[in-house]
This record gives sequence, C-alpha cells and structure tokens, in this order.
Amino acid sequence: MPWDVIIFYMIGAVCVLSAAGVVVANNPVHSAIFLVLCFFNVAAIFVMLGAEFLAVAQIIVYTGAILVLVLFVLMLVDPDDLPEFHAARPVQRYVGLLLGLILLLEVGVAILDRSVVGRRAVADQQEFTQIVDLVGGNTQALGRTLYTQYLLPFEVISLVLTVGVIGAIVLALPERLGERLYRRRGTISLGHPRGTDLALPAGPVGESPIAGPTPGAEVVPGGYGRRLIMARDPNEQPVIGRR
Amino acid sequence: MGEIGVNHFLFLSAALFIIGMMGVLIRRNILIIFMCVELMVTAANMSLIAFGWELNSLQGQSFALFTIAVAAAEAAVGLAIIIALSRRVRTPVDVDEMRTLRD
Amino acid sequence: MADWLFLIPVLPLLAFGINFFFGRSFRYQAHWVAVPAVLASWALSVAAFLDIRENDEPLSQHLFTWIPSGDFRVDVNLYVDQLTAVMLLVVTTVGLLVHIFSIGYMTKVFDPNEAAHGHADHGAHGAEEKDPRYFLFFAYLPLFVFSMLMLVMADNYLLMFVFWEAVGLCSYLLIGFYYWRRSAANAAKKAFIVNRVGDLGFGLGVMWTFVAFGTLAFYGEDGVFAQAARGVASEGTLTGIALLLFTGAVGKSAQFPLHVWLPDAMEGPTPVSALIHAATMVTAGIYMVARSHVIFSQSTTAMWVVSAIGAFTAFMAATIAITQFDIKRVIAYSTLSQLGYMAFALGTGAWIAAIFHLMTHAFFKGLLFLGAGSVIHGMHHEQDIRNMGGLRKQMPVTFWTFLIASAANAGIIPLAGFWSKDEIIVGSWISEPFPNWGKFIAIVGLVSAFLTSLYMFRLVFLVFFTRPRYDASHLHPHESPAVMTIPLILLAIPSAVIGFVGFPPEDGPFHHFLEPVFSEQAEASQEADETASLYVVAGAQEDGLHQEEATEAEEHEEGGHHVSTRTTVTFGIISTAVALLGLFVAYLTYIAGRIDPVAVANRYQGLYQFLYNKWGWDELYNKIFVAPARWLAMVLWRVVDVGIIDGAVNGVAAGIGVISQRLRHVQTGLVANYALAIALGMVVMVGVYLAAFSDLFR
Repeated sequence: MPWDVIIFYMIGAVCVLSAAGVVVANNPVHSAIFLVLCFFNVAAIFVMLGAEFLAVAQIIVYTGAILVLVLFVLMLVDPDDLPEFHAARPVQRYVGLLLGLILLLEVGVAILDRSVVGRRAVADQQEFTQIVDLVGGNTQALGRTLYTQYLLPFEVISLVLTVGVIGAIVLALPERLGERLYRRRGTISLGHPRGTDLALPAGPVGESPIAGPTPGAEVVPGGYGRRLIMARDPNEQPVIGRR
Repeated sequence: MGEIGVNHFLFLSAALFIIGMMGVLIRRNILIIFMCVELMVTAANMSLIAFGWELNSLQGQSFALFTIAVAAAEAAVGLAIIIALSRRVRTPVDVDEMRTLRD
Repeated sequence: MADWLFLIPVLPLLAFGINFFFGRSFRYQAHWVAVPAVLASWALSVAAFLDIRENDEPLSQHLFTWIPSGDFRVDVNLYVDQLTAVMLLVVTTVGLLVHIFSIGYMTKVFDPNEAAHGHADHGAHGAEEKDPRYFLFFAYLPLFVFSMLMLVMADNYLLMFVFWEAVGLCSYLLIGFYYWRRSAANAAKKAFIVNRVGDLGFGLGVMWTFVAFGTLAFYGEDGVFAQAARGVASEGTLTGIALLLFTGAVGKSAQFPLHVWLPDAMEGPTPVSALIHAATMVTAGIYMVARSHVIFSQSTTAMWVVSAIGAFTAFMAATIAITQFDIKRVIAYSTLSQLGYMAFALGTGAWIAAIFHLMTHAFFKGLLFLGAGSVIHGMHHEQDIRNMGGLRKQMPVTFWTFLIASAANAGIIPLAGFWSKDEIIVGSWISEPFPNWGKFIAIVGLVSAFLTSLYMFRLVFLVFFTRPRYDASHLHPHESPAVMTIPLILLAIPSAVIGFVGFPPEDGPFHHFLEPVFSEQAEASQEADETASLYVVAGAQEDGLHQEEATEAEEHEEGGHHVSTRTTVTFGIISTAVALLGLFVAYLTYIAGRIDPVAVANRYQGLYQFLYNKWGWDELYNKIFVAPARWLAMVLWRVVDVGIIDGAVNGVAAGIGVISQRLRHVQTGLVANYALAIALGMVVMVGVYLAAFSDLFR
C-alpha cells in the first residue's frame, strides 16, 4: 500500500471525525477546537492536491482569522446564555439526519457514476507539475492566473470584502447612534404602570427611533407620550402605538 | 486500494459537506451553525480543488480562493449580526428565538 | 348606371344619425329632420319608378364589395327592378305619411314612472305635450325606413338577410318604445324571439343557397335565379332551400306557426303598427318569396306548403278577428289574414296578384291603423271598442277615411282591396300547379272574405255608429289635428282608387309593369321544359299522340294564361256578394240589433272562447316552448350557474382559504425549519438529476 494512500486515509479519518465532533460537541468552545483540527487536516489534503498556497490560506484565514473571531464572539456572549441544549426539536433532528444520509447516498452514487466532461488544460500530470515548477511553484502559478485571467473577479472580490467589513461595522455599532437619538428627545413617558415621566434611563435600548410630536410643540396634560409609547418595563424596547 | 484518485477526495468532501449540513439542521446554537456553514464551504472548496487537480488546471484553485474570500466576508457580517442580536434577544445564540419572520 | 340610387336609403339613415345622436338638443323639432329626408327619399323613389317605367330596364348601383373572400363574394349593390320599384313606392309613401301622422300622434303617454299628474284633461287644452322621447321615435322610424329600403333594394341574399334582421331590430325597438309598460317590453321580446326562429330558417336557407349555387347574388349570368332556372340544383335541394327561405317569411310575415308575435306587437305606438306591422315590414316575407319565385316555382312541395299555410292563416286570423275588442288587435288579425291571402297567392303561383294585394293592402291597412291611431288619440288612448261608439259625428274625417279603408279591406267593389283580393281568389281557382287544391283554397279565401267583411264592419259599426258607450261627461272625443287628418286623406285616395291600376283583371297596367320580373322565370322554366321534353321524346316516341296532347296543353297554358272573362266576372260577383253578405250580417248584428252577439257568444260558448283565446296558440306555445325553456333556464341558473360555476369559483376561493390556513403553519418562523426545507429541496433535486440523467439506472 503506497504511503500516500495511507496518509490520505489517516488525514481523511481525522477530518471526518473532527467534523463530527464539531456537530456533536456540547460546548461551543469544543466545537471550535474541533473545527480548527478539521481545518488543519483539510489544509493537509489541499497540500496533497498540490494547492500549497490554498492550504496556507486555509489555515490563515479560517483558523487564524475566522475561528478566532468566533471564539471572541463566544467570549462576548454571556456564558449563562450558552445553551445547554444539544439539538433542535426531535422532528428536526431525525429528519435532518435522514436527509443527510439520503444526500450522502445520492452524492456517492453521483460520484461513482460521474464522467469527466471537462477538457484537461495539460494532458499529463507530470507535465503540469513541471510547468508549475517552472514558474516557481504553486503560489507563483496561482498568482499569474489570478492577475491575468481572473483580474476582474479578483478586484471584485476585494470590493466584496470591503463591503463585508463596512457592513460588519455598521451592524455592530449602531446602538450608539440610537442612544444619542434618545438623549436628544428628552423626557418621554412610558405607557406602563411603572412608566414615569422620567428621562429614559441610559441602558441597553434599541436604536429604533420613536416617532412622535416634537417636544414642546404640543403639551398634553398628563404626558403627551402616554398615548404613543408603551413599554412593559423600562429596559424593554418602547413600542409605538397600543399593543 | 491503489492509487489515490479524485473520487477519494470527492468522497471526503461529500462527507464533510454532509456532516456540516447535518450540523446546520440539528443544532440550535447559532455559533455552531455558523461553524458548520464554514465546514460546508470548505468541503466545497475541496471539491473544487480536486476537480482542478484532475484536470491539471489552476482554475479550481482560483475559484477556491474566491470562495475563501467570500467566506471571510460572510464570517465578518455573520458575527456582526450575532453581536447585534446579542443586544436585543435574550438568548442571542438560539436560532429558535429568532422567529420574527413568523409574524 | 343610376348614381343617385344610394340616396334613397341613405337619406333616412342620415336622418336617423342626426336625430339619434343630436336629437336631444332639438327634441320636439326632430320631425324637421326626418320628414324631409323621407320626403326626398319618396321623390327619388318616384323618379326611379318613372325611369324604370320609361326604359323597362332595371337600375343598379354598385356601392362597394363587402366580403371579397375567395369564391365567396358579396357586393353591396342596389338593384331596382319593377318589383323593387313597387316596393319602394309603397315603403316611402306609407313611410312618409306615417312620419307626418306621427308628428301629431306622438303625444305624451301616461308614464307611471313619472310623477302622475292628470293626463285625462289634456285634450281639453288642445296643445298636447309631446312624448319626451319624441326625437328618439323620429330616429328609429327613419332607421326602419332605411333598413326596409335596403332590404328591398338588396341584390343578394346576404345583404337582404342583414337588413331583414335590421328591420326586425327596428320593430323590436319600436314595439318596446313604451318600455316601461311591461306588456310592451314583453311584446317586443316576443316579436324578436319569434322572429329569430324564422330568421334561423332564413339564414340556413341562405347558406344552403350558397352551397348549392356558389353565389348569393340574385341576378346576372351566374346569379342564383339564372342557375336555378337552368336546373343546376336538384328539385330536392330547391325544395329544401325554398322551405327554409319560407320559414323566414313565415316569421317575418307572421304566418301560421309563428304568427303569435304580430298581435302583441300592437303594444307599440300606432304609427309604428301602421308602418311596420301592417304596410311594410311584415310584407318583407311576401316580397322575399316573390323575389325568389324562380326557386319556389320549381318545387311543388314548397308551393303547396306556402299555399296551405297562407290559406290557413287567412282563415284562422279572420275568425279570431271577429271576437276581439281591442281596435288595434282587430286590425292586427286582419293584417294576419290579408298576409295569409298574399301567401297563398304566392303558393298558387299568382305572383303578380300577391304583389298587387301587397300594395293595395299597404295603403288601406296603413290607413286603417292610422285611422285607429286617430281614434285612439281622440279617445285619449282608449283602445277597447266596447268603450267607443258614435264617433262619426265627433271625428268626421277619421270616420270617412276609416270607412273607405274598411270597405277596401272587406273588398267592396270599386275600392282597392276588391281588385287585388278578387284576383288572388281567381288566381288560386285557376292555379296551374294545383288545379283541385287551388279551388279548395279559393273557397277558403271566399269564406275568409266573408269573415273579413264581417269583422271590418263590426269594427266600423262599433266604433263610429251606435250610441256612445264611453263616459261622455268626462271624455270628450275630438277630431285629430290637421297634421294627422291630412295623411289620412292622402292615404284614402290610393286606398280607393289604386285598384284601377290593375283594372282589366290580369291585364292591367300593373301587370304589364311587373311582367318582366316574373316572365323571366316563365322563359327559364320553358327552357327547362324543352330540355325535359327532349328526353321525353327520346324515351317515348311511339307515344306520339300523348305527346301531342301534352304540347297542346302547354300551348294552352302559355298562350292562355289569361283567364276567361267569364270566370273573372263570376268571381267578381261572388266576392262582392260575399263581402256584402258580411256587411249585411254586421249591420243586422250591430245596428239593426236583429242578432244579439252576446246571445250568439253564449250559445256557442266553446267556439267563442276558442276564438276569443286566439285558438289557444299562445297557451300552447307557453306549454310547449316557454315553460320548458323557463324550466331549463331555472336549471341552468340554480344548478349550472349557482351550483357548478359559482360553486367552482367560490369553492376555489374557499379551498384556497382552507389550504392557506393549513399551509400557514408551515411558516413556523423557525430558521431551522427553513434550512430543513432547503436541504430537502437539495435532496430531491439531486435525486431527480440522478434519476433523469445518470447512466446508473439505465
């Protein structure tokens, strides 16, 4: 048995097992660790496939960046909120498993049944390796391809990344703007038994702006906001109109 | 058993993809679902690279590179969404709590 | 050839357009549009008549090609031959006078929908209020004149059919002119629907004509008639076509099975009854059969049917007329009866006599209706003759003209009706196609003539003689204004003297004028006979003697188509005697009081009721056609419409509602469920892909 076959099966087994660990682990942090393991093995597979650059990129981007980010988020979330639950409702669980098995079967059949319809760029594997080596290796070859054949998509993907970053910032930061909006509104009354004509306590409130008459324009005795704003408790987000 | 062929890689890729899919379907923790999605994306990447390897071409790898970039962007936005959710939902990581689509 | 022919129909059409679209702005002056148009049309008709009389040549004008579709070509041609010229004169003359009469007649009729203010004392004030839809009346009337003129001027069956329908439409509109009256609306519907039955037959006949001859044009080398005369079609085909065409005539001319609409049509304004339902439209059927005489005369069966139906109608309507009390209904049944005369004249081959009677009848029956209208007008819309009486003093002009018309209708000697009716009876007595049957029909005609005289003078006596039976303290009958009496007088003149155009019976100027139209057929059939006789000769040479006899008989017929003077005089005397007998009986009954009509009616209760109920046709049709149709409509409504169609529509809506109620639970709002659905979709798609495209399962 050739070494590469043995190595492939070893790596593949670790890969699958660690992926399964991601799914079944109770603790999300364990899941993340399993995922890191899985991705390292995937990187190894990439190397076997001759994609050294992508193997490195996989490690840097996924394990280095994304998973670290995931772990950060895990830390941000209140540990009490971390679910004790393992899985979804039973129906969902069993149907999901069943669908997965069926799909596995189908894809397996498809793989066994497939035929190559693509045209080989270079007829021989040896020759291809030689060509790649000629330009200095996989990274150089890939760079040539990206900056010649795929220049426009490459630039577009940079735009996608920029937009993604901006979107992340906008999503993560808006409540400060909302807070400022609240402060400017001055006093509002909450249509709640406990609601008072007090300045809204600074706290985690939603950014949803509250439509209402401009303060001072019209003062209704008993608090003009009483008709407009109701909240069950001061911490909850005010809702416009009656429930 | 003999030579390592493309089918080996494809089977591995399929296995990873389906494990990811099952995770998406059966877990409720949004972070784990997120990680499973990443797993599925990676499995798809592996398929692409395997096809490129079979055809002696760099196109598969190029495509996989783009996918990684998109996955990175997706990760940024997705995690930002989780952060934003954490401010207004009691248990931000439970997807079953997010059901405003229903009303 | 005659480029101005188109003006004859177009002028009334123009009047219609102006009054219909702009009439609202000059409401009560609408007759200033309609009357001059019809007057001009009349003048042009006279010109056309004189032209034809002068040159003996048919006039025609090609307007445009309506349908150029391969072999099927329909031209809109105006064609005026002698027959059409006579019809033109009749239509425009009566039409013109009726238009003038209507100016005075179309006063406001009590409309229960409007505020019911006193109507009874209108007459006392002289100036009566006009009908609010006066202009509309003067739009429909020219429209009718236009349609009728086009009908008689059409040179092919399709064009004729179109205007055949158009006059039916006008009839419908005018019968239902007082649409707020339920009876009027029903009568209009009845007329329209009953006419549809006949028109279906006519339409089928036209189609069959096209199938048989490949054309619809009347005349010309390849015209229908030329081909029919050449014997292109078999006798069976011709019989079929003739019977179908006659079905149309039965509907339009209110012959026996389809006669029920005409008496009800009297719900329309009286001038309409005069113009449409007496003088012109109802004679369209007679005209059409006369026009198609080439086809009819080659089918003995068709001729027999025509004559039988005509004779039966003549007799039946006359018997009904005796018992009716509505002044207009009596005249309506009289119209039916006279149309029956015309029909059996056609059926027995007396074409010219039929047209002659058509013409005289148009004048005296138009006059009768207008006179009745004048009476109704003078009596403030009272129509029951039991509530009249002694009107000759209050309405002298109406009385005299009405008397002339009645006498003409009854066939009193020097008046128009005598000549034409007598000729019809003689014509059927000596009928060539049916020697014995013709004699029988002639006798039926004589009996009907007696009845005609009886009911006409019954009407005259009950309306104009005897004591007034109306409430004289409230109702003051008055003579109609000059605008109404002048048309009466103008119509009385032809009613009295027009008979003399056919004076030497069978040999008058009228006959000579019309001869070219009907002799073509004679020539053609002669040709056909010749070809036929060739075969006979070939087949039966030894039968020389027989052959000779046959030729002799033929010669006798051809040369001696004229009737011996003795026969004519004999029949003149007989019919006069019959008419006078009717007059005498009416006199005894209603003036001298020797016969008590009530006692007679009581004595023969069953017969009287039978006649009074118009032989029960309406009830019969109600049972046979109307009730099942209602039942079917009910079924269609209750079961098909409400049950199936509405049920399907509502069911789909309700079903969608129910399904939606169920389906909304699918939208759980749970992201996981959506993901599951996506996965399921993927599984299915891959499965379908494998099943459809994979080689694995091949």
